[in-house]
Amino acid sequence: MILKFIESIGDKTINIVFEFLEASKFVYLCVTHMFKPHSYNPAMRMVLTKQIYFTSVGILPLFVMMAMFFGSIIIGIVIVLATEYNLESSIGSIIINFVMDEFSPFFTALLISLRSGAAINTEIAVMNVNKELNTLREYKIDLIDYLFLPRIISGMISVTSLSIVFAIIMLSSGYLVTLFYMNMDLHAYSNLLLSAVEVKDVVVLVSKGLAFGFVITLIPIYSGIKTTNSYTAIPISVLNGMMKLFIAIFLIEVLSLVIQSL
Amino acid sequence: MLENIALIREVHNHTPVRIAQEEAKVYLNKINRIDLGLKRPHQCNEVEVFYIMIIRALMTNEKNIVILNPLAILKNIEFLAIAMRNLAILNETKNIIILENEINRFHYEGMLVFQ
Repeated sequence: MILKFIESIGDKTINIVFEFLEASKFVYLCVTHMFKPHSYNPAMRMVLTKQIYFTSVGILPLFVMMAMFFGSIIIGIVIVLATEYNLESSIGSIIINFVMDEFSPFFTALLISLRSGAAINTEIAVMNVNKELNTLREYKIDLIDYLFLPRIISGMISVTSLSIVFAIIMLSSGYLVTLFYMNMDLHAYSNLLLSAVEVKDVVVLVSKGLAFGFVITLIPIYSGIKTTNSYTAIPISVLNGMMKLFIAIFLIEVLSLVIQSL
Repeated sequence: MLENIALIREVHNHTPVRIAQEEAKVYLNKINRIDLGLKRPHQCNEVEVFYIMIIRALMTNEKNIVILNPLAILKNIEFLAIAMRNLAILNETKNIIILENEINRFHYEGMLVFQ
């Protein structure tokens, strides 16, 4: 009984270690291919262009509306709270820190992972089950170059650029709140924000966007290629992939908070 | 299917998309099936899928092409004669090897234009 229990622990540990090593190898291969000029063939560049269009341009109307809606409400709440706790003097840096360092990249990551992450996971899983991946391998088409890399790069570009767009729209719509609540004119509001922005905020926004974009596409791809050969395995693959993705997003968020607090 | 056919050249030879698609159109024109370029995979019947597979194989850099059980792909014996005729029209430079079950040998008799 005890021996079987110990065996099962050992078995699970070995499986986890092997899975981790396999996933690390996949990450390593994707990253190395990213820096190889040979990976950027015409087919890959076309897929990359389409992916950027589908990921960041297609979502734009909904995204802009959400940024305006959340921007005015959340900045309103931040201003109200800051006034309540007598923090009017540092209201600019509070807004900038909250919007640029935390809310914009996190919210963008959630939205893109729900929309594109799930789509990528399903697409790769279906291709795997239909043996389309095997056909590409038969034709000596590198899956990383043709299928995975365009999606990963597109994710990184899209999440970063959409985070910047989100931050800009959120800060702009926040002006409406300051106008009505604090009677602040546009010049004073823009001065308040510009004096609070630091290089660190831009670095955090861009690096978090890149990190989120990387995991939002890489984890669903990995989950998709691990799908077993049956259609019933596709929803399980998407479910597992999305769970891992959300854990990864929260880990990045926690890691960034830890790094910023150092 | 044009993108599907052109993909081989784009990846293996780094041919620009437009030129690779033009090459694919030349092949489709040879068998008077330029319409196939605009079709999606699910819109193609067995013989059309067969043509796409052949053209894609012809666009690789390989010297030899092996077709395994064409009848299993075509599914209909009536398609075989026209498919083989178009295969001969499409191919100019490569060695095509057909591997078929012995039991189906008589379906091919008298129609092979290549050795």
